[in-house]
Amino acid sequence: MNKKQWITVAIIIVMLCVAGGTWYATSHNDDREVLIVETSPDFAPFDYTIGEEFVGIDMDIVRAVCNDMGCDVKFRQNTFDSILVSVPQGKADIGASGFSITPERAESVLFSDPYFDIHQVVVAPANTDIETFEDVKDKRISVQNGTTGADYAAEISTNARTNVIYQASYQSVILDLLNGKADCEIVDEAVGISQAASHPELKVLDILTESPIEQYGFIFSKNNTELQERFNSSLAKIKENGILQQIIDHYESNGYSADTPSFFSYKGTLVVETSPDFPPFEYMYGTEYAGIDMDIVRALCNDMNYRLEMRSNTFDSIILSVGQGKCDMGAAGFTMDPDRQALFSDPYYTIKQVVVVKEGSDIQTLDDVKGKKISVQTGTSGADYAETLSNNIIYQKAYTEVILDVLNGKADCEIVDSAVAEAQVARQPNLKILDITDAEPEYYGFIFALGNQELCDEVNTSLAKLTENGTIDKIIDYYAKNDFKEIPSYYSSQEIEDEDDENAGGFWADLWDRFYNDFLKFDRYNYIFEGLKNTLIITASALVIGLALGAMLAVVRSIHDLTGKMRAINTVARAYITVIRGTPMMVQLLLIYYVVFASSDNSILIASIAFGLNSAAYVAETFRSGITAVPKGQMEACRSLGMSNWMAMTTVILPQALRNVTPALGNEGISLLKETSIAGYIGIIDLTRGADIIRGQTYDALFPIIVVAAIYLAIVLVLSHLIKRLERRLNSAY
Amino acid sequence: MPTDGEVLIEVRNLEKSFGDHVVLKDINLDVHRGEVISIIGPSGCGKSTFLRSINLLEKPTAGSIVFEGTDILAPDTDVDVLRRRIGMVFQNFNLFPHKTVKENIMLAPVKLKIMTEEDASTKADELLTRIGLLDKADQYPSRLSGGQQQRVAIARALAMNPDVMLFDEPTSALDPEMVGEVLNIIKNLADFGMTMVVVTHEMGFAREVSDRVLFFNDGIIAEENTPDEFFGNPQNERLKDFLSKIL
Repeated sequence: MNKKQWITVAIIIVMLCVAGGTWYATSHNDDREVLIVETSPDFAPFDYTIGEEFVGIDMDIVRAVCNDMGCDVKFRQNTFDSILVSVPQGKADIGASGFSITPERAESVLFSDPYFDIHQVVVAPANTDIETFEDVKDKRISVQNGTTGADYAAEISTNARTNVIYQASYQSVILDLLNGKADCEIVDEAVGISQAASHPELKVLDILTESPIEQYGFIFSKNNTELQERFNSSLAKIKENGILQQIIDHYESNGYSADTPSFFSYKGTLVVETSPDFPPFEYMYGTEYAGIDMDIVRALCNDMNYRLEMRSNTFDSIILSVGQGKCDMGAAGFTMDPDRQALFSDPYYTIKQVVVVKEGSDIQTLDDVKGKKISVQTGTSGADYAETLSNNIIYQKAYTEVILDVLNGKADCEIVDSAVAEAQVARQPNLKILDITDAEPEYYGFIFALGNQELCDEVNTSLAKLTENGTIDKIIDYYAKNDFKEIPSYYSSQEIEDEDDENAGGFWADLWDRFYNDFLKFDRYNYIFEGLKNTLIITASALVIGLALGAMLAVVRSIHDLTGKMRAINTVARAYITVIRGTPMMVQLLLIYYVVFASSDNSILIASIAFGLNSAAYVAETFRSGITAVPKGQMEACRSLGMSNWMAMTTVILPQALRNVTPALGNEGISLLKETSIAGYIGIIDLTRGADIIRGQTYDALFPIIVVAAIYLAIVLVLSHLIKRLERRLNSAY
Repeated sequence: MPTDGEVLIEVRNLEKSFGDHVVLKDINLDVHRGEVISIIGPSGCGKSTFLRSINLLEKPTAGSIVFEGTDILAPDTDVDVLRRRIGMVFQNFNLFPHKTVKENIMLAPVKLKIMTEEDASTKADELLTRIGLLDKADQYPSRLSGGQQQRVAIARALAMNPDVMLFDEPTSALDPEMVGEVLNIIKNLADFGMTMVVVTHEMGFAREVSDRVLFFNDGIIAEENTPDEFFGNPQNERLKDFLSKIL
């Protein structure tokens, strides 16, 4: 090897190391800002604890706001009075403990915008004779010292000095009521309801209509206006998108009782699969799932209290995946179709089929479409409809490719759902929509496994609620307002970017823009690194499995050839090799993923096994030819010395065969590497799929594919070099 | 002449055929401890097949072979164990090319756990000294001449401490100037009392070293005699013919 080659190899290795290193760094570089929040957790339903967890309306609002701000929260316990000291001192960033906004407090702390309005109520034993505001005035009233309720009681009581009992805690106040030491209590509404929920012998009388309306706010240090502003803007956002109301509703629907779990302590995780190549319903915005479906799913999970885990898969595979329980729900613009082997939710979107053509196309009526070359996405209802019009149909895996077909003139038109068409036209101004089909309108629904009626019902209930309260419309409007372009999720903290490039720069600037778009924007290069990592893992593990199993198969076959022994195992081995070599790798991969390991979702492991099993068959035959090439006398010499067949094979024959077949095995390794490029079909982000995803996001095929090709080539060059060296070493050995 | 010693190998009515082609018919032979038997005959007469039958590299079609009291054709006999006591040297040496000379010698005893690594090493050095190739111990076989390789092959067989040695035309593949060094080793073994069956074309060697010489022809032992009688006064017509051609 000359100097130049060395340098090339060195550069490639350095490239790979940097790639790996960057991936490692980016995946571990999670330094989010942490905000310290102090609370006095004795004020259900606003602040309390369940076990170790801080729970309550305040706590959950803080969580939601901080999540929107992109910060992590650390809760700390303190007494109510002390919080008012430690926040100004900067020992805590935020105080959250049902602080009424008062001018006095505003002297020493900053308040957030109010998040809760509250008034005073009366709590009394269930058999009380109190009925109206007037009745309260002469009663013995118990209150917690220092509260608004205490002040108000003093104000309305006819004999405040004897009739108002000031207690240090709410526990004592309640004991007063239960033991008859007081006739009633005056307290904040939500707290009162919470107390009555915990003590059935008490009831709430909402009769203090004249009581002052108070507002709760969070507190910050006086000089931390920056945090106050950020907090307020995120607070406004969760008010706007309904999360705040959802949180309050959650506690209210549980009667404000002190054992209500946090809104964010989920019932479980809902694993949702989608095929994010279908804007505006699902697509990736950077590394974030966005689109109408995605946001409806988010709203559903918020409402149903599920933690959401999104995964991507191909459209066709999601139905299988749902059916096998690899995920709970599929959300990928599924048209409700009784033929599909799945349970459908109620529809959340209605759609009709339209024709999309290039500007200047001669297609004008439905009759013009007949017999034309139509491009469609496999498995969509557009595809079914297209079949009734023409038998000249191009089936593509993703809409990205369908658009390219139309743009490049490979197809005369595409048939697609109207919302998608609008999104496409919004991005590609030289396309236009023709609303000329006679297809029946269709309905989109989410899919569940047949038999998972329980989850389906739960989603339907929640969907009905979200439709009722306008959440669904808000989400759809949000996308419609932006012309169904690819924008960040409705719930995202990312800003909508103006993607309209000013086509100013020349050729090179243009190229740079594309490069920037493909790899640097939203850190898209991470898809390549993630893909590279997975491709290498799968190739390496498959190679190990293939070599080990292949060598074993070869030994069995050779011993049988030589002696006629091991007939049964040999038959199995031969059948195995025949089947594996006689069917496409792709089919084997799908078979192993969806049939053999249907219950597992560790797709990288499954892919490694599938590729390993496949490789083993080829390795076995390679090894066998290598074994045949070893002179027969070697075996006889071994046997004459008393060695068994197996020992002779493993210690004498195989090592010699190995040298014979090293070049062939090297080739096997190289083709294995390249074969792993189909791993994307079972939802793995391998190198090829990584490029695919970028292509789907940027509609640019050039850079992602070229870069990926270059990486494959680089790995192959390194591998070939290593194999050559190994070969040389083996050859010089004896 | 130790023909009255203990019978080591007893061959009775041995037959071997490949399909319709009969190679050996009704062979009977006793090999006594310490005896050296040479087998000569035209090519294709079955002499190599007979030799290879003794350690079951060829499986006889009929008859019996009893080795040290054990019927080696019995189904429950562990052939691998018997083979450890029957050394074999091949025409083409069949050394293991990926092992050094010393590793070739040590491989079987160590792998079969007959000797420890150290014992086998000592034994190998001893054998290499005996064949005069101690300086080649760490060479790969490909660096050795044919004669040297065959000497190593003999040492490899001897490392198992066999009770009998089978030689299958040990000098046929050698250049003429190397034949001597191999035959000397075999003679040396004979002097030490090793029981041996040698298939050979070296008439001088057969005459000098053997206790008995057999003439194989058409799958039978056509003549069997002491070397002096065999070569000095052959009876069988085919043997006479054969000897006249090669002497």
